Amino acid sequence: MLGTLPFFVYVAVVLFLPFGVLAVEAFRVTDPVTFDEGWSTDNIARITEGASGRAYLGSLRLSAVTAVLGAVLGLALSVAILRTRRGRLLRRLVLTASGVLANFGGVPLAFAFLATIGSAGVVTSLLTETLGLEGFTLYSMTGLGLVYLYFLIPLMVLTITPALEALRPQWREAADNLGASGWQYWRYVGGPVLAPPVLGATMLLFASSFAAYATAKALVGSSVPLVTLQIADSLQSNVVVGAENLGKALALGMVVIVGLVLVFYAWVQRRAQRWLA
Amino acid sequence: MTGGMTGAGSVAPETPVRAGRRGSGRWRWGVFAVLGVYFLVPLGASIWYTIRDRREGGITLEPYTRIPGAEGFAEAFGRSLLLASLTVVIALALVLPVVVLVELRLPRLRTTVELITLLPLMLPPIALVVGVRSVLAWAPDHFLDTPVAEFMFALQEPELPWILVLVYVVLAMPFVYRALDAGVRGAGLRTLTEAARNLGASWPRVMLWVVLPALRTSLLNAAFLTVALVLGEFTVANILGFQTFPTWIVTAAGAEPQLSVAVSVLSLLLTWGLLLLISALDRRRREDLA
Amino acid sequence: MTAVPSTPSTAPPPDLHPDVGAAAALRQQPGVGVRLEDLTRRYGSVLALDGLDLDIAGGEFLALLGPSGCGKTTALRAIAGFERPDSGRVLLGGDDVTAVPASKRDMGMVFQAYSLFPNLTVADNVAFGLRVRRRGSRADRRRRAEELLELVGLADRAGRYPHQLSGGQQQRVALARALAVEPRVLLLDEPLSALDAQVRVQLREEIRRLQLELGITTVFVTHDQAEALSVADRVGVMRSGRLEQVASPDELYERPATAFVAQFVGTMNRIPATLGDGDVEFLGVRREILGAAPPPGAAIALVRPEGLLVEADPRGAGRVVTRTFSGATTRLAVALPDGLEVRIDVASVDSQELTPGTPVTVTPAERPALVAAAEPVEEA
Repeated sequence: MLGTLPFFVYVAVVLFLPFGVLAVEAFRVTDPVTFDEGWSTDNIARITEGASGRAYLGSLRLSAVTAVLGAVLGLALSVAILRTRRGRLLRRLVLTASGVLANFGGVPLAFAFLATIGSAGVVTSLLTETLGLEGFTLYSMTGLGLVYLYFLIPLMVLTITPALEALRPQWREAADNLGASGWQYWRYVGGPVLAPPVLGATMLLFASSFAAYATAKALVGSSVPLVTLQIADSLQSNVVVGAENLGKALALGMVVIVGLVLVFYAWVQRRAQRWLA
Repeated sequence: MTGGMTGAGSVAPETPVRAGRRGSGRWRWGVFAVLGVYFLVPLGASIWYTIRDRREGGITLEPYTRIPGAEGFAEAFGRSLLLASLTVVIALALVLPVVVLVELRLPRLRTTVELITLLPLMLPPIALVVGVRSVLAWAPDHFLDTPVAEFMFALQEPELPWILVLVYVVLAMPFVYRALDAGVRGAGLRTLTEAARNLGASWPRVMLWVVLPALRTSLLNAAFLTVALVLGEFTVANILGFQTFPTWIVTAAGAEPQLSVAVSVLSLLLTWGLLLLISALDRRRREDLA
Repeated sequence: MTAVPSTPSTAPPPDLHPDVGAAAALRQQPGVGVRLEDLTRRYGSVLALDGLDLDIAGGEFLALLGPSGCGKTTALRAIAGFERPDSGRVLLGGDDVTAVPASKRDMGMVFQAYSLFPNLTVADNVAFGLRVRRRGSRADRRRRAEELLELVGLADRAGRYPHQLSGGQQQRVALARALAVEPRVLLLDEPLSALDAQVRVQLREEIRRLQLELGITTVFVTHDQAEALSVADRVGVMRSGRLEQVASPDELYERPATAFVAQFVGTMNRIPATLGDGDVEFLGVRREILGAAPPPGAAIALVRPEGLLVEADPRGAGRVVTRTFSGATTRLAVALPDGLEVRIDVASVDSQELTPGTPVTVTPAERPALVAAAEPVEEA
């Protein structure tokens, strides 16, 4: 059908072409002396060592920890909202707020936290002046994680609420009726039904945390080892020859990692498909 | 439980009353309390940070009143608004036909389209923008003095960087597709269009008089999500080196942190307010239909 | 949904001879009686149960019938333990179980639809109750599940997942699952309402046959009067949280206790009437009054479609409006003066000349008539 053609052409040019070019050019190198260009796996080899390796490690650790924490807390919040009777207004408030924070937070979030627990933040001065507490700094991995959760928890709420709503009350009642305890219901029915969507949502959180750049950039500049910051650095460096190509290799590495996560996700979904309509 | 006896034909009252679940209430309020503090404190602190008058003490709205006149604000914000409108138009024009056709004519394509529109959500935007930079670098490297290069340079005009629009359309696709898809499924589009076709309406007429009105709220929703996305997008603009609203906030923070926080707070609250409004509209409409 | 089991191996009811087959093995001690005493349940301003009293004998098949919102489902859920009544008691075999949680009541319930656990196979669904009670070994439970599936004619679907079954098959599995734990009472909450008409009839007959076979006390909630009348020993008609009448299907049909029951069960013509001294006059004839006479004043006679006689008559005041053939009988709608329209059933063989437009006379059959005060009765 002709109507879908522009869409597919557009996607091919603006989405697939850049990634394709990325995949190819990550293997290009420029000789620092002769400026000759050639093919090599040097860039790829370099991304696992030194600053790049540390950045990957930092990003992976931060994303894994925040994804799991965000998933657990977001799930708890979602369950709590759905359990609230007469909670329609609450639900709408939380879901719309989640929409804002999960998708459009980025820079504003960083500043909200700067104003709160940055070096001149309101809560920081409250704590240091009144209680004499010190030691926590926002400009660290932990601080960054704290800010990331501010958009990851809402993202979890957004993705998992529909799945929770799809749990039919009849299942719980049928289980009750057949003599199951609450625990048994979750063990045999509720848990298995919810596991795939929860896992899927956690993957999404991981990808989102892994890809986050705006918040980190606005908050810590480049003082924390993260791949996204490392990529930006290498692109904006005019000094080191071939840095641009290293950036491409770093970006390609990110895509590969996200790709692996997606493959795992697809595998889980397929397993779930056995009993899903 | 008053809601339990809703509507004709509802057979089972909703949430069953179960014995021995008293404990769940306390657990729930614990979750609300902890997360409430976590989410409200930064918001409250940001507001306090901006309205506290540091020189004279007391409260001032000065950072907020200063926003419109702040250096570079008008230009950056105006540019972002323009980018947002262009993105909305292109994204809707690309995705709407696909959503409608997939629903009515090409259900086989559904999985493919869903997968494609999910990609921008999963793939890191920074990787996409590195790729885009590489493509743009072809202009000086391979196409110098050809129309292709001219075109690619034109895309990067700092006053109106079309390249941002192109990338933003891709980034907006997940939101636009889902908003429209939900609308199409909810509207019973197949029946509507078949009825219209049966009454002798041509396809363009069906699109204009049946499909668009039926999708009013979801179009509005899609458009709004896209605008919010563009007004908040930092990564692409920053890496490609263009000045937009979000990059301006970061730049301005160096000299005037209060101003940046004030703008941040405003943009979060305004976005939230508009989303609430749209969800209320959407709900009213759905209740009208029901 | 149209996938009605069509192969001869699954469609016919299983061997239900009293002494052989799986059913015999399941046959239990005489069913347990259920008693509801002064049950009240309020949702905000809505009174779902308004002092409901009901006695269900052991082994009885009782249908609760009524329009939506009448409280029949609430009553069933109170028996199951999903609803805690505000006041009143639920007695099971003489024991007060009002405070016993649903999971400890030993009842089998079949829900309206979609109650099968989607992540478990058909066999695992059926064995679920035994599994959570840790009853028998894995193999025992498996065998028992197969027995029950045999009983509902779905032995060959044991390994399927619920979404692979038709609606009717799903409800059979739900029935097998409810019966697997040998419940003391079987509760059916509109189990057929989501099914196609044909499957509905077939399945209700099977349910009844199984119930007789097992001798299990059964409460069946439905808003479909034909369904209730066809399967139940007794039918309780509910309205606004109260029972209007509990009686056998025949009695309910022939001698409805209230105008509401008359209106709700079967088709009823409402014909303006004049009360006489111990009798009633309508359509120009006098008839005895069936049961208690209403208080003096405007009255209406309640007459079944088969209680009116119709005859082609060129000078008749009535006109046939429509004619609906339904096998042995044909239903006529006849317009009478003063905007009155009545429905009349005639033997199809006698109805050849009664085409739409034919002038006719209508007379009540020679038998006592049911009369009610002419107050408005809300639509059923």
